Amino acid sequence: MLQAIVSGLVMGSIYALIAQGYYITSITTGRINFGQGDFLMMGSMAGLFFLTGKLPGLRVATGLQLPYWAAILLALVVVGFLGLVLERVAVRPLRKYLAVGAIMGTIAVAIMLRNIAILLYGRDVLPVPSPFGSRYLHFAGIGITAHEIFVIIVSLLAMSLVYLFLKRTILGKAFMAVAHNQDAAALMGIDVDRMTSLAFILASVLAGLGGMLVAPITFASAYLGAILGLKAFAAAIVGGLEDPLGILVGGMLLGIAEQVFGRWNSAAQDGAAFVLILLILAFRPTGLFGRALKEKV
Amino acid sequence: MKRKALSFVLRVGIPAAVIYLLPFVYPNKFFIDVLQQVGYTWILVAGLNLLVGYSGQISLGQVGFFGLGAYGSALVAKHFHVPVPLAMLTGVALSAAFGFVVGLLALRVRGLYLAMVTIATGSLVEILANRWTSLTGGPMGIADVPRLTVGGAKLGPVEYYWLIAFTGLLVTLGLYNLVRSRFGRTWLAVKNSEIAARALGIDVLKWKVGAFVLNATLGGLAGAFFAHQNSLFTSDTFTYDVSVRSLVAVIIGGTGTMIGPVIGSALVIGLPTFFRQLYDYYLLLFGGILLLTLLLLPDGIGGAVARLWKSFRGKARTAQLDRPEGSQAPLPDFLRRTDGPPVRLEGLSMFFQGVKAVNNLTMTIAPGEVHGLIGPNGSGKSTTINVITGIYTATAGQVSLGDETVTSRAPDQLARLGMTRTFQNIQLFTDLTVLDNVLVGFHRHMSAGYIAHLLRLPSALREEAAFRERAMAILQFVGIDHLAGEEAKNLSYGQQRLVEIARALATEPRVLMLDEPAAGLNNVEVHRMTALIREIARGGITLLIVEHHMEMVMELCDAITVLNFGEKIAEGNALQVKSNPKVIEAYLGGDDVISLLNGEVARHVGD
Repeated sequence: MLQAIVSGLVMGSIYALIAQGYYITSITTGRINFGQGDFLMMGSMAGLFFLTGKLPGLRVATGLQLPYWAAILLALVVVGFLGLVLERVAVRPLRKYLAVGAIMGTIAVAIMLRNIAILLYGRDVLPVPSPFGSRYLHFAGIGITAHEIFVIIVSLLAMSLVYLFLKRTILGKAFMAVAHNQDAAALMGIDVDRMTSLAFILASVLAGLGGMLVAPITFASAYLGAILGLKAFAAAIVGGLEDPLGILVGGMLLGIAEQVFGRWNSAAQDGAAFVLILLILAFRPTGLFGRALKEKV
Repeated sequence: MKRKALSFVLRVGIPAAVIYLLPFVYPNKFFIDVLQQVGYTWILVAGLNLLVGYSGQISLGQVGFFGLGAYGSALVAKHFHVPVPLAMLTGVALSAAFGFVVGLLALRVRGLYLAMVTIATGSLVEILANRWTSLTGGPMGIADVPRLTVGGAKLGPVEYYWLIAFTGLLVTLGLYNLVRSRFGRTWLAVKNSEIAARALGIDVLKWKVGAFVLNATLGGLAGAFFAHQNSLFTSDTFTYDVSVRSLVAVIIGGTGTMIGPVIGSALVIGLPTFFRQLYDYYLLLFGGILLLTLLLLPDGIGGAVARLWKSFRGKARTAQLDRPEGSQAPLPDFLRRTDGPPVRLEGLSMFFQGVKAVNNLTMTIAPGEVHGLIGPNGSGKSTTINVITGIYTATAGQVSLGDETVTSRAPDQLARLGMTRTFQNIQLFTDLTVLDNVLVGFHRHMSAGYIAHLLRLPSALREEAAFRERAMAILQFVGIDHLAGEEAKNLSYGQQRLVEIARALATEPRVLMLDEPAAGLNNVEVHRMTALIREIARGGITLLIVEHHMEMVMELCDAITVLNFGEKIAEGNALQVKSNPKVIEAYLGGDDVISLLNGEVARHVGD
């Protein structure tokens, strides 16, 4: 049981990390990137390329192998750039749309990314090395790999940084101003367009980081993103899209529920997230920590 | 008559001919198989199109309905040895029941949360299909699924395709009938403004769940057709991609258009098939087409076609229809009444987290009188109307309508009792024409049902025509009958206020509450509005008016209640209220102002 909870925390922290991206873009633009999972996949793929210097789909091997920290940084730059492209071609032009059209725009980009990944890396599942090798720790009857500890620490650290950025820096405050009221923010001289670009870059970087962290556990493939993106979306909804701490709790809850139900059988593991979400939304339509809607008449 | 014949050829003749002839284009097995797929996808997408385009909800869980229809039908046919058509009906019923549950779960959630609910329900079906292998066979599949037979002979692939496609055509024609009836109007009303729909007596919950059930029924039917297409199918078919593809088809085809689903389905099924040589680039192509459609054709291919068609026919039409100005007709007789009941508030309170928006308010609106509710900004006027009409739940106190206690009843229940309202920030149904807005108001008086409208039975058509006449009479009364065919969103602010009043009158109310009817109007419009309200009052309807425009209030109201900080500070006729020092203080500030007003300075200002 304790083992299930610890394993749950590992996946949960990744869900929460990706889901913070949903929070950032939804508060600023009311939109989310339904392809967040595929941005995660691109993160792990880009990281793999910088680590190994190989593009198996194109049979390219540059022989250039970067250290882990450099690979992470470069991968994040790549994914951040993709986030900017996404915002420019598929979010900004569709701003006037109702939610459905805007969702479709991000799905279109995600579909294309998946295809690009297939072209570059092929259709196989590729192992991704961890900087800590396969070191394994035991205490109190629980087993955890060094990489899993690394995952929890890095994602918590990244989430705290995002939180501090939003609450403590001038740029972050400008960002939150846009979230509260775009028109008023624009009147205060804040460049709303730049802030929405920033939102999508930041969200994508978080997804990319999640991809780097998760890849040694799940391995990398072009189809890695679909499920993880959905789970992270579920985490964001459980916690409430408007509350970063709620999302953290939601992610952890989801991760743990999966592992605990997984002790029973694997169908229950997959279903747990969805049952949990239906139960929560039946009683709290805006998530555990979401504020109730009150329509102004 | 000629137009009717043309429309029949366009909507029934040509599509039927195309459906019939398609198998002869490439008479090979593979092509027929693709046609079958397009056929049932069309049915699946048609349901979703209704849900998204009309009821304003979203489903990313179509795979759930599709899967339940398929497994329900296949399993029942296989294990209970019932005839295939009966088994298909069971599958459809199962899916419809599931749609009911999903619809209920979807009621309280909105936007992305709703998307998640449907993703979750769809995924659960997906998991069951994959993992409950003793029942579904999972990835190994169900074998020996019985096929449709006619007179003992198995239906050939071409015949089966015809069956599916002609069902698709019938479904589309039925939906077309439905959406241009009061059903379509009501759904669009719910989509545009739930709160206004409720104030007109529409049971929003019922209509939203209804849309989900209809969508699920069609999804289940699509699944049932899929199940009996071959004698074997596996759980691999039922993935999240089915749901995404359905939504993509709706959007590319053109949300809310009738031709959209078939175009969208042909594209999402046809593209991957015909670009099979480009297998490696297929997703790029598909995503690219989706993105380009979104960017270049904001209302989809179907929307673009509809626009072309309109501009082609439009010129001939508009010229003959429009008159430059509206009429000045008297209040229609069917709105006159002698039973305008009194409305009593007793100790009514509404607190928001400690803020006493309305505190212990007792007042009576006498039958058939015009009662004004005034007060400075934030004094609780709108909150009072919102509590009376059931939009907020009172913290304490009672509201009674005639002899009936109606405290905190839902707005639609109150509307059915004859009490309705207009809104301070106008809540029009922007996707509907002016006439249709008013017709929605007649909701509680219309009785022609689902089947009658689906088949366009004479009873339904007669009812439509009768209420259309009444709606025109009301539009003539408020003086905007010349705008009947215009989309409500294209009207000026003042005209929009008139539409709201006309729409509220269409409920044939006994009590009508107007929340700032003069807000945003120019002087001329205020005078017209005043005259209009006086006419309505003469018809015997009990009226409550919240208003800032003092001239209008003083001129119209038999009695006036003044609120300040949520409490009643004065009540009486115009003269009594005007001279009440508490009122003057509330509006203008302390004693100094009163002396100023009574003294000389005021006269100077008056000059």
